[in-house]
Amino acid sequence: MKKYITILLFITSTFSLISQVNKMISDSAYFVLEVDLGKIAKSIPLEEVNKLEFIQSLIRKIDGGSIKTKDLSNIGLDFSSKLIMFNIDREAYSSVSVIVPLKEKQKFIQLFSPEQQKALEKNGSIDKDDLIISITESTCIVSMVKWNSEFYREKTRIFFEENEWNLPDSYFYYNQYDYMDDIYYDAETTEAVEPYEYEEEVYTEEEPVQVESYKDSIDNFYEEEINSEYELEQMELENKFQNIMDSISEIGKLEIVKQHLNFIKQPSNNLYSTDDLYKKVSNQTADAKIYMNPMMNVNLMNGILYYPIRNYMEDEFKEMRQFAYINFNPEGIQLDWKIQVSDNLASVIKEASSKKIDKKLLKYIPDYAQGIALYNINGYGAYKKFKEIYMPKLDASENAEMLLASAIWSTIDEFIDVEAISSVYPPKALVSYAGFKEVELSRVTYAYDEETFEYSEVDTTYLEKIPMLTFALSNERAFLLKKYLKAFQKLNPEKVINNGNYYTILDGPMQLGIPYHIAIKEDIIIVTNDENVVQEHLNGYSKKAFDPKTYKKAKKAKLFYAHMDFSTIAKDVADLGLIYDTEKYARLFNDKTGKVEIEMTSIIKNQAHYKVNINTNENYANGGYFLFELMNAIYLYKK
Amino acid sequence: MRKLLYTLLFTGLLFSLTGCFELIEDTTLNSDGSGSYKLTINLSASTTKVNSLMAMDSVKGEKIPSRQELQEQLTVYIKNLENKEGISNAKAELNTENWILNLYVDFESLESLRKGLISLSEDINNKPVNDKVNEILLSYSKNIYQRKIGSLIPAEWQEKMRDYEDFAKLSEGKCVFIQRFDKEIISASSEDIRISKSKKAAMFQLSPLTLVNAPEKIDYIITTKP
Repeated sequence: MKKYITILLFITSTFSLISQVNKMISDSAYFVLEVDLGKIAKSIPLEEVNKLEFIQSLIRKIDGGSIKTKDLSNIGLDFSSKLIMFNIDREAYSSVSVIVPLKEKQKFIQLFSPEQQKALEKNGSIDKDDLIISITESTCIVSMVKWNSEFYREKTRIFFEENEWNLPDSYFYYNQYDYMDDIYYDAETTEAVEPYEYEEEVYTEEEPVQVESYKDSIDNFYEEEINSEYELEQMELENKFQNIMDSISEIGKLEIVKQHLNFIKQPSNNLYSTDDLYKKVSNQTADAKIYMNPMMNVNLMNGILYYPIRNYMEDEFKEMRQFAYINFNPEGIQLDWKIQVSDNLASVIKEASSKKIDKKLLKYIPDYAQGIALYNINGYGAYKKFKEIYMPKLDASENAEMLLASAIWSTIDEFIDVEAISSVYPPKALVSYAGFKEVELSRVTYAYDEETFEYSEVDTTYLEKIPMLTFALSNERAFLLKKYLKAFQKLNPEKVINNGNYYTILDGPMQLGIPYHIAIKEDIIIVTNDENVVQEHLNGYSKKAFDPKTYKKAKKAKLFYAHMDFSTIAKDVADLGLIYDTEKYARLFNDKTGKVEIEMTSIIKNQAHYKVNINTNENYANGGYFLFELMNAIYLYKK
Repeated sequence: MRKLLYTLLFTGLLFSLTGCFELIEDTTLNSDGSGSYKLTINLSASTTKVNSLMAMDSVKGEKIPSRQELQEQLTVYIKNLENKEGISNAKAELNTENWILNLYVDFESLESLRKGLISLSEDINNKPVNDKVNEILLSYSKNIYQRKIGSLIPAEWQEKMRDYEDFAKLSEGKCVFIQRFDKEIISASSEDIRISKSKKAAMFQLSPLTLVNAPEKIDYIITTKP
């Protein structure tokens, strides 16, 4: 009996610890990353983790460099629980928080300086320089806050308007105002928390905001003579604006910090208790999990959900979530990624992925390709479904704008052949990457006259290694492009060259200065910077680049499929010429290679399932080792 | 330009580009000490690298300016340079297709040019130059042209440059210094300095690698006929 009670107590305490960690996630979080420390420690033992330089650096950072310990297992962490990171993005601020599970609070607390230890023991938290550290019995929550000055600026503007005060002219020239701000207000001034006293007006919204006299400081600051009353008036207004904004910001920030600390003391409205899907995801077993709710990212959603379709979009987006289970295995890393949308959008996506890929596209994968990505969308099917769902919604609306939108949409639908348009756009496309190749590019040098040493520009060439990319687009009306190319060549013969079977455009995309070539073969458009593809392989390649399994998967691709062999990634990146320390780079990254496969496997109910398989270099025992070694290499390279 | 240069420096990219870097400094001197100065910086052999950089929004938190912003900033610098004492006819042209910068100024004396260029450097870096830079010597008096720049370069800078793994790539670049006179040249202090057939121009050419290893090489004296 005793034995059973002990087991039950153990189970209860374990679960309560896990839920303690989960309970510390604010329900405002839009991104959550959970790492199961117990499972991770099974993939890569703690003794191995301790040996990594970036871990040692992390420990040194935590304990302020006093090197009290070099062992992760000796700092009071609970390795049977989860480490959680979550992000919040609100109008006034954004924050990144890390919840560290604790087994021995007293041991962990000793990592801090004596002053910090005292503050943590007394108040349970430290709040300094936008960093808030809080300690509970079983967790340490570290939050880094970034305040949105634009939000407080807008609040100040409204406050000025409500009080019928003039705004400084520089308010309308943000950069100029910013400039004034930088040079005029030193750190000490802006750090002051006390509200300013202003004799005439009272800030009635939350707490009194008053403005002090500032004329003297202006006179001291500006050495040059102030020429006009206007200038003086503007300086006074700018100072008034800044002082009030400082006060509003300080009051607002204090309130947010207070709310944050109150939440930690009583975390009743936490994500785990308010979001059933998160709870479900969190309860699944995986080495790590990702959960995203874009609706909670205020700034992102404000950009997407703009008037006049906001109400409709909100309805569609409120179900939108993304979550992923990440697991390490001996082959590498596996991600099961799920994208949940509304039932309506799910049926549109299902239609979009209903057509099979044009197999002819696969012919244009060069034999020496290292990666491919396929994009296969049934544009007309998706459009029909979209119309079937949303047109009746607009028709049923009482809103004049929605009814007008339906009328205009119906008119366009009647007069335009949408089926013909969707056969052209969006295209069914295949992109292949074939490593780096030397290409002859033009450059300028100088020729010197031996008599006078006068010099003149001479056009010459140089060889540059550039990544080879080939796009093959399936398009029933490819002949239209042929007509346009013919016209462009006549309009600009210096930049568009007709080579017979293909055209060369000398000014490549994004002003990179890399020429590219276009060929049209029946209903396939080939766009490439690898001239060999259009010169020698207009009828395609022999499918030798990847194993037959990859071609088979590509043929069956729904909506999206990608396969990438990163075996030569380190060398290729070095070839880009953007790495200055190539030897060190090669030493650290040469074996950080692998093969990545991404495929959309199915759409079940309102969730699209993506599978990402990363087969990592066989030098590493499993994906966990690989990931930690990769992080360590990045740390060492940047060091 | 400043931001681009900063970004290049921050990321070590300037160093990786210098392998293909071509610099020409061309000074024409009249007997009265006045003259004209032309500086060419040619990055055309790194066009794709610079263009790749320009295609990014930012690198290591540093915003990459647009081509138009670069042109506008250059106009401001040149306008400031034009207003310096003893400087006139300042012009600059930045070719963003091939990435070639041409700067041209007329000067009343080499001292005006020296001050003008230092002030341009302060404008670009937005801070005063250090004392060593103020010690730069450029003079043409009593038929003697003299320059002292390289020996003022601090040893730490050389060490820092040598620390780069791609240090050897600097041998691929080219730095050319030309001085033109309206009188014939009698002698030059270094055997590395070539004299034109007309005897009125001197040219010193070296790689950026030599410049880093022996910066004092660009300090020399040229004597002309009276």
